[in-house]
Parts: sequence; C-alpha cells; structure tokens
Amino acid sequence: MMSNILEKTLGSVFTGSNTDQFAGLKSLYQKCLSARTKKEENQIIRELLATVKLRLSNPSTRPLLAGHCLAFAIFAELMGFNVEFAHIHAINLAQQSSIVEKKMGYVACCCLLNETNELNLLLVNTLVRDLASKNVAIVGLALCALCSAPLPTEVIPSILPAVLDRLNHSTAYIRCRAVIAVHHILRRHPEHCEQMVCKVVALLGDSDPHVVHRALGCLPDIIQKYPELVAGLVQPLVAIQRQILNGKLPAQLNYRGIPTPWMQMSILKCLPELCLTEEEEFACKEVLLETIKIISTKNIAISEPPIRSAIIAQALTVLLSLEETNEASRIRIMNYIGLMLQSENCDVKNEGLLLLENALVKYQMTLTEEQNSVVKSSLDHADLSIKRRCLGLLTAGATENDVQSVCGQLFTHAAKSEDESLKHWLLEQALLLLDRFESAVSEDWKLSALIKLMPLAEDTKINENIYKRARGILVKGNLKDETWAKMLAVLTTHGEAKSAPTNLLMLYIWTLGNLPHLCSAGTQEALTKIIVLGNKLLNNAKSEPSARDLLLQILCSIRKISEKEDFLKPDNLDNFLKEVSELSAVHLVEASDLLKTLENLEKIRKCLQLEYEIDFSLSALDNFVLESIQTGNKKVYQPHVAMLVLQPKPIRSPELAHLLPVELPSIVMQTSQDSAKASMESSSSKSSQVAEPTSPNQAPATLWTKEGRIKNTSEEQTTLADSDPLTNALRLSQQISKNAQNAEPEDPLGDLLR
Amino acid sequence: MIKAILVFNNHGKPRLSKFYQYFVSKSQKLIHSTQSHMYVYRRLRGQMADLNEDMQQQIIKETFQLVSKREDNVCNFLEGGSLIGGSDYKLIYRHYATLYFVFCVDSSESELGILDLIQVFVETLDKCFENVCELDLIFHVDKVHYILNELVMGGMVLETNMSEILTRVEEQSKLEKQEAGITAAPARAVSAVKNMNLSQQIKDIKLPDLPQAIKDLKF
Repeated sequence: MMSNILEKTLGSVFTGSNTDQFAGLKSLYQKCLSARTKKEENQIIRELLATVKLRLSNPSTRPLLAGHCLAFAIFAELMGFNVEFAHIHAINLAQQSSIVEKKMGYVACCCLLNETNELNLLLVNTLVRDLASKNVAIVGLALCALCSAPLPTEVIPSILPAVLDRLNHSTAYIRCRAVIAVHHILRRHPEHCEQMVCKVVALLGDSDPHVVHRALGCLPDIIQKYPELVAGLVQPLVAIQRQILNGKLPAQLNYRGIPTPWMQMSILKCLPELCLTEEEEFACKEVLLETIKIISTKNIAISEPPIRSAIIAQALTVLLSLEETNEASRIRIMNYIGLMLQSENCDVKNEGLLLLENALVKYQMTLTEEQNSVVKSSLDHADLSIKRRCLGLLTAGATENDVQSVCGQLFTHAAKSEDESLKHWLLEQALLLLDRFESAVSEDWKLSALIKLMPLAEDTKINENIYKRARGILVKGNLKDETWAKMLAVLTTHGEAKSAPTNLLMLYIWTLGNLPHLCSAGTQEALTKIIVLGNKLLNNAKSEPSARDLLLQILCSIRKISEKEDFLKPDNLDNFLKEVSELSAVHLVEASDLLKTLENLEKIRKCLQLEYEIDFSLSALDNFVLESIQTGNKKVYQPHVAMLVLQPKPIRSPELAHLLPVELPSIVMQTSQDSAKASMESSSSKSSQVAEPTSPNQAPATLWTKEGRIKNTSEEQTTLADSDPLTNALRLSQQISKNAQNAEPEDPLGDLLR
Repeated sequence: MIKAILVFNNHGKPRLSKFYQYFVSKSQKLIHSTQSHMYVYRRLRGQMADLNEDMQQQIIKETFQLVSKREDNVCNFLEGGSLIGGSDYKLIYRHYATLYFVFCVDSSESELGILDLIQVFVETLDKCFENVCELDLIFHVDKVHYILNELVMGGMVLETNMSEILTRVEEQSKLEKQEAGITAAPARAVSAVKNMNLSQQIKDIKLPDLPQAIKDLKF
C-alpha cells in the first residue's frame, strides 16, 4: 500500500505530456498473460499493438519509450503477429547515439527484419558508421548486428573493409567479434573473402586464447575453400592441444574441470582435414590418444559433463577417419567405443553406437558377441534415436549372409513405427541394402521384399522408386512359378479388398495388363478383373486423384490386353470406357482412342501381322494413272518428291545463268508441267502434283509406275546421247521450268479430291 | 553452425526465438520463382513478410510437437523436423521445469557439446535474473536477447565462459546507467521504493530490550 502511494507520488512529480504516460512494459505483458482464452489473448495483443503503433508513429515519442514499444513488438512477433510497422522504427532507433537505444534498435532489427525487407539497406550506413566508432561497445554492437541482420548481398563489399580493419583492433573483445563476422561473410558470400582469409589464419597466433578459439572455429570452412592457405597447420595445432592438455592456459577458461573443452573440440575437428603426410598423421594420432587418456575419467561410462564425452567421441571419430594398421591401436579404439556403449546415459550410448557404425565400415569387421548383445538390447530401447542408431548399425554391418534378416528387421520396425521420418529412413535403408547386395539376393526375394515395402511407403517420396523396381523385376521375368502365383494372389487380395494402397493396385493393374497369362483363365479373366476393379473405382472413389491415376493405368492395361490374340471384347467394355471418358479431358482422349482402336481391331491386327507387306511406293495409284492415260484424262498423278528434286530453282541474276549452260531437249515431260507450276506457286505444298498434258495428241512425256519412270523412245534417244545423269537432270529441269511458265494454272490435287 | 534457438513452454507457447538461417517455405519459393515476372513479383512481395512469420511459427509448432512427446529418460537429440531441414539438421534440447530450450544445429556441431552450451545459457540467465523463470523471459525479452548475443553470434558460438558473459552483461548495464544519469533517477527511485517492501520491514524491526530499571517501573 505504502509503496504504491510513493510510486504514484514520485511518478506524478515528473508527469509530462500524455505521450510519456505509458502503462509500463510489464503491465502490457501482464495484460496479455491474463487472458483466459487464445481468442482473448489475440484480441488484447492486437489492441496493444495498435496502441504501440500510435506511440511509435508519434514524432514526439522519446527513443527510450520507442525501445519499450519495440520490445513489445518483438514479443508480439514471437506470438505470431505481423509487426511490419515497427521495422522503420527499429532502424531509426539503431541510428541513435545512445548505447542503450542503439542496442535496443539493433536487437529489434535482428529480430524483426527479414531478408526480403527493402528497409535492410537503410541499416548499412548505420553499420558502417558504427564499425568505425571509437566506442568499443558500439563497434561490438555493430559487428553482432552484422551477423544477425539480414543484409542484401550487394552491400557486403561496402562493409567488408570496415570489418577487416576491426581484425586488428587493440581489444580482444572486438577481434573475437570481427573474426566471427568474417566467418559469417565467408559462409554466405565466399567470393568476397579471399583477401580476408589470410588475416584470419594469422589470428591463430593471437595472444588472446579467445581470439585463437574464434579463429579455430573458422578453420573447417577455410580448409574446404582455401586448402592451400592452411597447409602445414597440423604441428601448430597439435602443439596448442598439448598446451591445453598440460594446463598451460588460464584456469578461468576451464569448464567443470576440463580445460577449454570447446577449443579442444575445434582443434580436433580440424586435424583430420589437414593431415597430408604420414608424419602429420602420426603426430595427430598421438595427440588424440593422449587427449582421450587425459580427458576420460576411470569410467568413461559416467558422462558428466556431456562435453567430456563429446571430446572423447570427437577424438575417436578422428582416429577412425585416419588409416590405422596397428592392431593394438585398433583394439584400444574399440575398447573406448565399448565403454561408451555400456553407458546408461542415452546420449553417450547414442554416440557409442554411431562410433561403432563408423568402426564397422572402416575396419570391415564383424560384431563381437558382446557388441551384438548390446545392439540387440538397444533395438528394443524406448528411445527412438537409439533404435535408429542400432538399425543404422545393423544396416552398415550387414553381410551377404544376413542381409535378408536385417531387411526383415527394418520392415518390422518400419511397420511398427509411428514416426514418419523414422519410417521413411528405414525404408531408404532397406532399398540401399537391396542395391548393395543386388547379386546376393534372388529376384524372387527382392520382389517379395518390394511388395512388402509398398504399403509402408504409400505416402513417401520413395514410393515411385519402389513401384518402378518391382515393375522392372516383373518385366525381366526371372521368377519361379510359385513366386508368380504367390505374387498374383497377394495382389488379387489387395485388388479385391475394400481398400488398398494405391501403388499396390497400380502394380496389380499393370500385372494384369502386361502378364495376363498369369491368370488361370488367361486374357479374359485378367480383363474381367480389371473391369471389375475399374467399376469399383468409378463407383466409390471417382473424385480422388489416386483413383483417376489408377483408371488411366486401367486404360493402358486394357490396351495391352487388346493386343493379345485371344482377346475377346466383353459387352460391358464400351460402357465402362464411356464412363471413364467422362472423368477428365485426359481420360476422354485415352478412352476415345481406345474405343476407336477396339472398333478397328481386326484391321490393325492384320496390318501388324508380318505376312502383310506395306507398300510405300504408292502403287495403289498405278491403276488410276494408267486408266487416266488410256482414257485421255488430262490429269495424271505423279510422285511429288521426284519432281521437286528435278525442278530448278528460279535464277534471278543473269550472272548465274552460266550455271545451266546446257539446253534441255525439246521433248519434255508435259505430264509434269502443271506439277512444276504448282510447286512454284506454293512451295509449302506437299501434296501430289498434277501435270496436264498440253494437248491430248501429245504423248505423255513420262509415266511413273511402281518400277520407276517409263520413258518414251524419243526421249530415250535424246538421253542416250548424253549419258551423264546430272546433265540430263539439269536439262530436264530447265525444260520443266520453261513449260511451267507457259502452262495454265491448275489445281494440284485435281480429280483426286472429286 | 547453429541454425536456430527456440525456447517454449510446456504448452508450446514460444518465449524466445532466434533464427540464424532464413527458412523458406514452399510458398516463398514459388514467389521467388516468379521474380522474372516483375509485376506479379511486386504484388506478391508484400505477402512475403507474412509467409516468413507463418514459416517461423510453423517451425516452432513442429519442433514443439517433436520434442514434447519425448520422455525424460531418452536422448536429448533427435532429427530435425521436415520444415527445419529434416535429417540434415539435429534438434538438441533440454527440459527445465516449464521450459524447453531447443538448439537446431547442422552436422558440424557436436550434440554433446551443444548440450553443455544450453546448460551455460540457462545458468547465465539464472545468474542474471536471480532464479530465472518463464516470466523473466517474457518481461525482459530484450535482456534475454542481449545475453544470447554474448553467447552465440551469427550462428557461431562466441563465448562459453559464464563469468565472461556475466562480466560483459554487467559492463553493459553500467554503461546504460551512466548514460541514463539524471533522467533515470526518478525511475530508479520508484523502483527502489517499490522493492523496499516497507510493511514487511516494519514488521521485521527488532527493538532493543528495555533496561531492567524501566521494566520494573510501576505506574
């Protein structure tokens, strides 16, 4: 009571304008938290946000108050509300000279702005100015904001020189932050960082261990992008690690009795990538074993603090990545891994399982009995993560002899698992095993495994992959009779059930269409089953996308079946196809095409049979041509292609006239003059050309039959004199062009269309 | 690298979220792909901020669903959710009373190392706020961000020594107080009086015993 009175008294002394009267940030939050329902909370926050927006937009609002408003805006944004109005105020606040306001402004910018915001550009000048400030706190704030605020790529070159300059700052506080800022830019925009990398590597020799630690953090990315700059760093890093293990660094850097654990982790991570020579590898292995010995307690199974196990696990991981031929060293490594496996702590056990998996792959070894028992007991562990690790271990250690049992375990766990990501991972592991041991398992077993996987993989990305593999095995056909029978029985059961996985139904329909002989009654039974399934889909699940895909597959299968010799069209097929055609445009096209095909099935069959020879020489026109000549019909049909070849191109330029110096003979192909004219008139026309003889008394110059061109005697005499075929062709083409110019225009298709 | 730091309570309500990577939703990818059609892009760009907010909320929700159904005696790390990167990223979490502290990291970070980092973060908050509770994270969201910025910067671990972080935070507070100067005096006075708890202090006053001579006086 008394404190409230005093508060009000003191508060009233400095009562300013209404703008400065603010309920207090705490009271805003208390109002939000006091809501009894979500709806009420949302309403309260919206109202308060409206008030905050008004305060922020008022130019007389003090920056400190604006900071409070932005703090509430951050809270509202965390609760899922849009606070876009606060973005510009956050940037304004960051531009203030006061450290308190600037800090709040930068925090608000980092929390509220996103990469798509155009206002991010306004922050750049502020950052550049603050990076050059003499105040260490302000420089620190700017470097921190540089890493967190979403800046566009194009502004990085303008900020980079200022950041580089800070790498040489006198205080370690700024140098640490500058190194991290450089690392941040290196990760996102490596193209801008070539000059900076050397400076960062040089900081590995800094006098302050914090700066060295930050520089070590950058090393993995530098090793990846600029390996030549970090060659020969193994010995210095090994020396640093030894100094840490021997307690040479200040005690204040220890964490729960472990000397600079995170710095050790950074060094251990970099070592394997840097080892290029045997000497370096040897030095690396020595320091790793030393690290494990010093860091581990008598019982590694005790895991406190977790960072201790982390260092040991990291050291073991690095040892496993290096070549180890010494059997004694291998045994030591496996002993350490075994100790981690025996831990009651799930986190340490998890790491132990991962290390065992790496060891299995690296050393190509089999599990001992003890390890086997640990793995088996872990398979039934309540923790999904440990189960996953065990199954990964089994998959990694699978051999040709036990691949089937391992797959069986994967299927069992996938069927039982409620976790979708675990299920998906297990199915992927099963497929990888099938690939790895492709030759070790029979096609029969593979097919049955894939059919087992199909219902489990229903809604996953690998669904399509499994279906294609199963289909591929069926196409190859290297299966036993009992496998065929079993497979069909399983698929039929699913096909006749009330509900079934889509991919299994797809396989069922495909099998019936492509392998109808598997059915006891052959093609007709397969067709009947397909139509029954199709009708079921039409009646019960017409609107579902999966049902529509199945119906398309049904149409393909019916088409396949219709190609069989013993195909007999059932009565209900037409109705079924008509119903399917009503589903969508795609179905309409397919079903209509199929209907037409079925109508002309007999003719198509005859065409496809080998005893019929398809004649492409248009000999069907021969009788017509002969008849028209005999009756004196003006129009004669000739093959279009030959005429186009012989027809000369029109020569525009007199200089080119010398290309055709030879005069064509007077006897011409009068029958071809109209066709030549037609081709000159419309060059795109590809129809048969018509040539009309100039007079009925004139003998037709050329007749075309199945055997080729029939020449008359006079022409033959002329052509015999010049036996060169090209010259003949040229003469002929010239004559044709002359005649074409004189001839009357004529419909190229003429009587063919009457 | 640390991709995100999330703190939410047992009911899934977020109390702190810091993303060090821009997570793009499918809708945002679709909008990005229409950039060549500038008119459409400009129209849709306005919706990008909403989609980003929505994405972050969805990530928080999905993470809560993954983490909350785990029992206490299981591993403290699991695969990331589908929105936050799937099996490429890991979620390392710790459950303290009513709050979950979740760090989403990529494969370059050690899970056990991050567990200790979470411990350092929580211990630092505890020291700064003196028995930190959920309400402190709500009422002092700005201060929590300051502390987090001293621990993790740009997704990289900046400082792991709790004493160093506390020293920095105190230095910052001193700077703020110096800067505030006289203008902050009333606010400080008010808060000092509020914290006095006069009624309790009056009750707690222990008066010295009266001398025996006065006690023996008879009226």
